Amino acid sequence: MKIGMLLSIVSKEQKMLFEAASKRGVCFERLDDRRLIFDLENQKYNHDVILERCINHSRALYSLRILNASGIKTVNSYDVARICGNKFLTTMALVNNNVPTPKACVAFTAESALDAIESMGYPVVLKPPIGSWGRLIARINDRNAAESVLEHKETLGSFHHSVFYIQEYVDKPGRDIRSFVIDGQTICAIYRYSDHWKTNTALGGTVAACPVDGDVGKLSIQAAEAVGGDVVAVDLLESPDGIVVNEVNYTMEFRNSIQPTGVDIPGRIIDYLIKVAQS
Amino acid sequence: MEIGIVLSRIRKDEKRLISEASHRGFGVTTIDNTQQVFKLNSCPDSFDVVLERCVDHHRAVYVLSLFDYWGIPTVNQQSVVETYGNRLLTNLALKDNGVPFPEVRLAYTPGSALEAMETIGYPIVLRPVEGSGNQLVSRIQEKHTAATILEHKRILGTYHHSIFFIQKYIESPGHDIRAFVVGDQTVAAISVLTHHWIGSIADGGLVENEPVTEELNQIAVSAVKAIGGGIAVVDMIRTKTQWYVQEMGPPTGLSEASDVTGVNIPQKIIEYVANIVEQGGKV
Repeated sequence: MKIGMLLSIVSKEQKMLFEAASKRGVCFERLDDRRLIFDLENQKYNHDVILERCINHSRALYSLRILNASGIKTVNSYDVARICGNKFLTTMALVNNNVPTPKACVAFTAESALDAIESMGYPVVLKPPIGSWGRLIARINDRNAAESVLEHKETLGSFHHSVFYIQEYVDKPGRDIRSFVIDGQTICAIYRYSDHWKTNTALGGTVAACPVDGDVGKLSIQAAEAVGGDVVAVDLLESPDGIVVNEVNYTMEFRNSIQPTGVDIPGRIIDYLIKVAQS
Repeated sequence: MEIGIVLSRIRKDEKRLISEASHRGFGVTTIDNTQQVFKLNSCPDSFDVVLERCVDHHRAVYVLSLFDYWGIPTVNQQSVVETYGNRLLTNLALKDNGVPFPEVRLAYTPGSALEAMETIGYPIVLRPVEGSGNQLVSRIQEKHTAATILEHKRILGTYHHSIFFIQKYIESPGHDIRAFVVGDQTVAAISVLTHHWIGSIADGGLVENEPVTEELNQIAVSAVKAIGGGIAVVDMIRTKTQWYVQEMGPPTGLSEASDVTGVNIPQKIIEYVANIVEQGGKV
């Protein structure tokens, strides 16, 4: 069995995955994206499966596209990375599959974005369509804030920052939920508590186990199916009208979720990889 | 028949397309992407077909994704625009379909990119993986220049500029050819004569009608079929022995090309769009 890991640096998650693999007698071949040269006509990779763990979304995306084009199975696939890496495409996939998600709009100029924000009503959440770790996600509380933030994005950012993704703000109870779905099963979930409205664990905050029976488990599976993801983390919000899916992550971090849930997330990822390699 | 045209500015080409469409009795609605707010949870006004004429490639991709999800046929299809707006996706599609293109490598760091260039051998052409036209396209003759340009891209550019798309330089005898493909046919072609190594109309190249030979038509059409079909320009290089497809892009410069070739390209496009609707949205 030949299993590869596409990665940029060996972080704590990567170490945990290496350990889980060696416990199962499997060895990863490391494909360091800093050293890769892809020759489009002569493909040299022959792995049974490759796990993608890049830091940089664009490196992941291009590498997966090239690997999938030559028939190599990857976890996740290019299509999944493309949808999950873009909040706009994720929303469209969720809406198209009737998975409840906050209302959202897209506009391309500061002027039309302001129209969209005003018609949605404050507060709204402005997000870069592509981006992670909560970076540049802004809660906009009033018109002055909207004008300033839009102007900064349009003036200082690359053209990607002038694709304005505007989402209704969900008034959540001081926490959100992150669940982990592997191979069509919700294996565990955590509550993320924070005093800040952004509850990303990369930004601090505390965590606790969240039960996965009921809507959390069910909606997580539906969200994973909507984007086609084999190994994904789903962000859910408890809105006054019920649970909604906010985002789906395709290269998830999990170091803070093992202890509270008692679930061996890296072990489950490796078990799934072995299954894919053997199929 | 109701046709929606998504655009950012009404240029000469859009004027001619609108006039051709009205001439055929179509209802034309322009959707200005600088004004429109696109709601993701509900479908907008319904059209029989949407023709995309955005200036900005990324806006085009987003807007076409929306209509795609809503089941409204678009020209071009979203996947086609996404492919021709990205040089990696274009080359993979060409490779899968056996269409000849100059040798290519992709790398993510200046170190690995330099190694790739040395393997191909100078001169090489470095292009942004996304983008159209000749912006930031560089011909690199030797290692020192390579290292300098790679450093500038890494330090000054956004992370997109650190996806290094490296192409073998193909010597072409003074001219590059641009074919206009509409569906199954190359409706017109032009050649650009220039002293600069990048054959470009914008740089003051001399544009002439290029006869559409069977061979030219076959290569250009197979290139467009490879990316999913539709309407596109195909930039090609002809050497003494072989044709190469250099890249593809949205159908722009229609008015100038129509004047040079005597072919009414906007009319051909509108006929194609009408045909798509008659066939129930299938390309």
